[in-house]
Amino acid sequence: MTHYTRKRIFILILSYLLPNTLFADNESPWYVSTSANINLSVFSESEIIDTQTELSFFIDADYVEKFSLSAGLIYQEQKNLNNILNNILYAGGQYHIYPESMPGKVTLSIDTYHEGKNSAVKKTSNNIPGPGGGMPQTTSVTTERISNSLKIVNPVVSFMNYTKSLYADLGYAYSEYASSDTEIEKFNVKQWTPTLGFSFNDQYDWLIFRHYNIDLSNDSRSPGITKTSAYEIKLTHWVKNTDNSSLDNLQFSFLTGDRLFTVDHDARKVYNLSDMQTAALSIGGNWKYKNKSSFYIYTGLEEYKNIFSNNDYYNIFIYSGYKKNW
Amino acid sequence: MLKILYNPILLLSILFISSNAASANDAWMHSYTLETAGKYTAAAESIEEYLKQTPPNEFAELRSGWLYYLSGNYSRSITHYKTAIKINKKSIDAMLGMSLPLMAQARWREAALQTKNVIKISRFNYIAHTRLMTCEENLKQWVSLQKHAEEIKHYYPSEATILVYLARAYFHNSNNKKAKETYQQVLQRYPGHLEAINFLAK
Repeated sequence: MTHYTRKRIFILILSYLLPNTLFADNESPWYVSTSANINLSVFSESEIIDTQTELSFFIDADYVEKFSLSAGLIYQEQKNLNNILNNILYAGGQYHIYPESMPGKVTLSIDTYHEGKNSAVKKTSNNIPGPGGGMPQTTSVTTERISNSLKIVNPVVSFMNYTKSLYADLGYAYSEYASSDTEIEKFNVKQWTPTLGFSFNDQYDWLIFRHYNIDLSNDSRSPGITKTSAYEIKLTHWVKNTDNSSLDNLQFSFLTGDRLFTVDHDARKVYNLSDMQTAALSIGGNWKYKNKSSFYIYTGLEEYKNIFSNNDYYNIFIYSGYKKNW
Repeated sequence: MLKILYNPILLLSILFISSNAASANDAWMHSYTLETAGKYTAAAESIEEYLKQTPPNEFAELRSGWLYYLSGNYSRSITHYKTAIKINKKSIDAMLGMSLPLMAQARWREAALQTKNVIKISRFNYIAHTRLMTCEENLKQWVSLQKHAEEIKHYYPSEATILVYLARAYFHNSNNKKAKETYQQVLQRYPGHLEAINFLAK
């Protein structure tokens, strides 16, 4: 599927959803929101990556707390040794169940990410040995266009009690990475993420614990490593007595452990860097305006390790977005 | 008249009908007694046989919806209210009834839709409007809550509840002056109203 075909499909999905929702009256059971986000990352002390820019756009259509459909496009540009452009298509859905035997809501959701072929430029340095076969005399750089593909299926089952004091979910993500580069072996990643959360302080504070358990089918991208494990803790504080146009909530998160090729279903983010993430810290806030729109900004630090070269490096990121409820 | 008493078939028929009526009456009576005792599930189960009737028994569905709501089985309650609405699409009782378990499940948008369905039939229905205000508040739709309460207070000028919603909406819409004025009006109608007293004491 070409890049333009994918764009056409995305526009078709939007045009199918919009007329039924945007112009619906107050009694319409459809609730639509759109969001546009930007994530800028600057990497320090990395031998292979300098910056990453990610732009994403999502549309979510919710049918009165029964089910919802989502679509999106994620554009990534990584400037590094091998410049990479990624255009990832996103589609997702949720279905809510209210079982008689349970004191809360069960939600079945599925997120899918797909990238047919990205545009990557691989630069290879070739040292041409000197006449004696020792010290190189000249160095040539060859540039080769390679293509990578990515497919992710991420189902999640979650439970939230009616009093909104307890939350639990179990997520699974199956990711398949392939490349036309013969040096890179095709591989897949299986990720399990059990999560537990609870509220306190009259539900003005939410604390969520998540465990990432990730299995790689082979170690072609991470020599000697086929299993990683990480723990994340996330605290959200809802601001009391906010007026109509003010800070709505603050969020703090901390991650420790090792994780590779992670899928974060809360942020709808795919960590497709081939380096191991060893820690992360972020803080941010969400401002709402008249329940019609919201603006959010998060900043943080992430630590990585390149397993091939044992190079430890970190990045500072700013993630910001605007969400509009139609 | 006396001839009837001497007709054994007719007499037996009358006795059978009256005993059936008495047993039906007993089932409903039993259900109300259990409800008063707080045994809501048992109260619903005692009228279960009426749910199997053909044609369907609208009142049995409504009452089951209410009793399962009281018992905390909100999904079962919604199922019965939905059936009651299918039987009688004009039933304000069923629509208002269904809004309760929906609100208990925090399904504010769906509950709001049910109250709006009532308002379509009965434009100034007090219960529908106040429940819609509860939904608007929980959905943090402060602008629409303010407009809504400003309009409805004219139809129920002695009501404190609508003014409480209006005062909350003014506060969240950054209009403290109007919020204070409105809470003062609440205190005229409900002198001990804690929320109004606390707000005005700030």
